Amino acid sequence: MTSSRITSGIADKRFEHGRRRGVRRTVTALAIVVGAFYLLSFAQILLMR
Amino acid sequence: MAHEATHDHHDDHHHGAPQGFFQRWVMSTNHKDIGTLYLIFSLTMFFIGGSFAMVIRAELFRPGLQLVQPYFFNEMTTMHALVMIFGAIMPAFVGLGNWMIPLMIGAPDMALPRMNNLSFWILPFAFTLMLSTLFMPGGSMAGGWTMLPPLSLQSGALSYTVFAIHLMGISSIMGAINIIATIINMRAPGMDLLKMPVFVWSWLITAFLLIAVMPVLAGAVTMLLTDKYFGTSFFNPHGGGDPILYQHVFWFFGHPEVYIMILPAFGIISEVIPTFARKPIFGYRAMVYAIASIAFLSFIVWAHHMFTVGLPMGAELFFMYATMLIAVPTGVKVFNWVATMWGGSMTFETPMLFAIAFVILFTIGGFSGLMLALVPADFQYHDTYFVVAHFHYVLVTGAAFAIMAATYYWLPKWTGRMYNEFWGKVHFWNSVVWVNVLFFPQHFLGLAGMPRRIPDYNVAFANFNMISSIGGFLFGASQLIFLGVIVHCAFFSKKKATDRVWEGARGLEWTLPSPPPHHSFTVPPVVHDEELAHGHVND
Repeated sequence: MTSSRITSGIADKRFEHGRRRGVRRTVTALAIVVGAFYLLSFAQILLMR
Repeated sequence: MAHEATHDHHDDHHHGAPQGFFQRWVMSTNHKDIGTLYLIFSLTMFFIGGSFAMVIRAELFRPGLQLVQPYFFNEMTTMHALVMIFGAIMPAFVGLGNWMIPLMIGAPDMALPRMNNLSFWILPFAFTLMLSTLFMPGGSMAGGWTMLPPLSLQSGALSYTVFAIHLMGISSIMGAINIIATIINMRAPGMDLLKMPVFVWSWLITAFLLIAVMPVLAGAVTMLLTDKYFGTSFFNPHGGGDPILYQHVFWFFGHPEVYIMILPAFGIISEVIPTFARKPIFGYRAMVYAIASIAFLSFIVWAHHMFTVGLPMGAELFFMYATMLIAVPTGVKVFNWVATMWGGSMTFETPMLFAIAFVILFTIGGFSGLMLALVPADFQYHDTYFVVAHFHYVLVTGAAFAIMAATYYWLPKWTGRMYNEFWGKVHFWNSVVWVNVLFFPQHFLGLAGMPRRIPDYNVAFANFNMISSIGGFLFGASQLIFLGVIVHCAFFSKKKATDRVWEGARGLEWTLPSPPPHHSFTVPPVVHDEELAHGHVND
């Protein structure tokens, strides 16, 4: 394996790792937002009952 | 353009599609296959919802009760709307997004492929459940798609419909999270946010709208459920509730929902017109900001659906002016589409014909919307056929025509074969003529005072109703040509599509072979500005 291929392999892994970390963060943030919206919607049902 | 960024060779895992039917289609995690599933589902629902519309127009062909009982007629209007909105239009856009977003941004797939599979497979169950209520004792919901109490509370099918709507909402939210996570994180290096195709932008903004309003719909229908079965009185004045509360909550969801059904259409038209005008889109940034502005405004106009319920004067003025404000960013978009065509080397293949029809006919729907935004005028038009004409111009010649434009535009890329241009144009001309025969007279019926959602009417409305029904039958029959063109292209066409398909097409998706391999962009492409979708870098 040439050194350029080793370097590009490392860059690939970093890129893929960055993507996965970004996806995890985005999904966590959106899940919290959606969860809060659903909770609010159903909390008002309980509170206003 | 699509050179490999980080590899100088290409030897890693290139698997084809799974061989077994069950493995490929039921267990699929591939964005192209799931996109295809969504589109097939949408087309099926389009014909089911369309058959309900045929029943409606057949009954309205002449005054008097002809074919069906009034309750069944009301079931048809309700189910037609629910099927078309949640089963045909929305899944079609999700399918187009699934197919095209990863290809347009240079991603290997959606960010969450397994959730993508779940998002789709919830839908057939939800709609089977909802449509099965038509065959239950007492029938389905029949109080209109808005499910306004107290009328909707009389239906024995409420619980099934509410459960189906919860399932559709969960599916939409999962789809929206997936699309946002994909666009934010999976773009190829160099594909900055303001270099993305307008279609991708339109979907990003639509996905945020979905996340914001679907839980509100869930809350509203759950309150209906608890009012009917658990002794609450949210909407029951006898227990201190108020039916108008439901309308506020519903339309806080309902108006952004209208934009959920039209913003991706704007994105599609912004892809098609530059391709066939052979010019970059005019005012790329203005187009993106206009979509964002429309999305924002959609949250502060809900009560224009409720002008006649007795709102305070201040509220009526606010919602009237806020609604009229939407015409500004919408006007920017229409102006920019026209300016894109201005001086272009235009050709008129079927996708472009549908796109031009969209610009003209959607604008008619926009103008009638402006008329409805005026409080004093709305008191006259409210709950008449004028409203029916208005929203069908927006959703049929708007959303559905954009979906048809997108299908003709991307079908050669999906299948690797060209569709039959002659029959595509036959479909277009039949659609554009008959859709106007169908819906334009409904403006006059509404202005003359014909109420919506009635199976019988005054003889004074007979002629325009007959014309409208003839238009409806022929528009419905024209869609069989659409089905024929798609089936022919997918299975029988001998004419191979090139990679770029259209001479003026720009963007990453056109650098892939037609059809694209089962796994595309496994190595991220390098994005060169001059080859970007419609060169909008420095405008």
